[in-house]
Amino acid sequence: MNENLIINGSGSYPGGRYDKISIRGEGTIVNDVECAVFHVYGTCEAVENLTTGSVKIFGEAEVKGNMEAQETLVMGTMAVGNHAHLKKIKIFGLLEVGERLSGDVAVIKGSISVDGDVEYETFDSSGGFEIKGLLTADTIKIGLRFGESSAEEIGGGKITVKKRKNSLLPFGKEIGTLTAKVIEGDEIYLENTKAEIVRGNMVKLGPGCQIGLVEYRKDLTVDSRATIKTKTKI
Amino acid sequence: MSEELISKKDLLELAGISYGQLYRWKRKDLIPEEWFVRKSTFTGQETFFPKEKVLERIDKIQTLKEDLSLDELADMFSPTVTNLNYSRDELIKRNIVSTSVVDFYLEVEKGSHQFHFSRMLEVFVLEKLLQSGEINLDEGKMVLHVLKDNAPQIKQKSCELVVTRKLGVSSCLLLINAEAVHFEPGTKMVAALPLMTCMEEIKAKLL
Repeated sequence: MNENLIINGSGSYPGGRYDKISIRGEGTIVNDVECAVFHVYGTCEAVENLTTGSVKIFGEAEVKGNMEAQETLVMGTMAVGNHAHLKKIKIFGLLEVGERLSGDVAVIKGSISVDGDVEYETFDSSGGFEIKGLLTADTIKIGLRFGESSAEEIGGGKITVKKRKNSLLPFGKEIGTLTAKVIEGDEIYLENTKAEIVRGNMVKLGPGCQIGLVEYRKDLTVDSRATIKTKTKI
Repeated sequence: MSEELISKKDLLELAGISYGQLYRWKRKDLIPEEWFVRKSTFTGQETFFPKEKVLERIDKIQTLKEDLSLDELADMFSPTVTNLNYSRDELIKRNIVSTSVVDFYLEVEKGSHQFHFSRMLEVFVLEKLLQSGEINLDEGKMVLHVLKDNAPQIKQKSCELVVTRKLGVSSCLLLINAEAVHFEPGTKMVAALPLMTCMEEIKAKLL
């Protein structure tokens, strides 16, 4: 049985193995740390790597190295310097990752910003994202509520992008948009999306799409409010 | 290295797989990142693959996926070393080494009779080179030395072991992520062994 680390106030602690870590003030963990539960209500900085079972961030947390977790809930802000392998994530706040972000199930209601690739089995976003690399998942569901989401490339099995009514912010008529260079998938439905290339078996383009080139294998349907420069059937 | 490349859409067509499958395999690291070659073509950006390698890999995945889970397959293809531990007798039984080579190996390094993966690889490489008659016992010792000294590198990167000989003097080098090597004339390349392939062969024999 490992000990708990509870920081109320401020302090700097060594890493190692703990059962539960709970930080209510301001805490720094200077080496690699492993724990079953990691809760931050204040501010926390882990200087090296973090491996944990369940993470809940209500305040602010930064992991400078790599991070691995089974379940992650971010209501506040979390930043990971290098690679983050987070099996199940729910982001209501903000998550920033310096390299690759991977796992099984991602639910994004807030926003994420990733400098590398994002790899999940299921990726469901109704928030915003900025991904500098490839976004790939078996099922990708994107609800565009506000702002501009972007990824260099998007690839997977089933990709659905729909605009959503902005129920939270009554002012302004801003609608969200998605920008990507390449979107590839077996089944693709897009709305309000700007892309250079879309490739897929079944492609459906809804209102507000601006696509440079569409390559489709089986079927292509285009809404009258979508524009395509070139299309080819392969 | 100039290899024939194949574009992603041609690959899907040829192998009869879907985008979903390809991306799933990529996520599971069954197809290494380095094989995804991004190029600009006149129609825009496209991804290409080294044709021979990727077709061979997809063929392997498709034949093996009936029996193994994707994670097990990933373990098999991954260059990072799995947690395996076998005894001397088991290695002989599983046809990874012959009795004479394993005994020579043990005599040189004086280690235990339990083999973890790095040592398995070392003895397997030795077996290949000695049995094919490409090197002699003294050179075997040299090869072993190089492998031992660079063990951490071998686990991470794609390495190739090269043995050369000139005027009867032999030398052994380890190439890490190398594209090509050139020697002065008169140097004979006795053996070149991609260690990645060796690892896959061992894993295939073990699984």
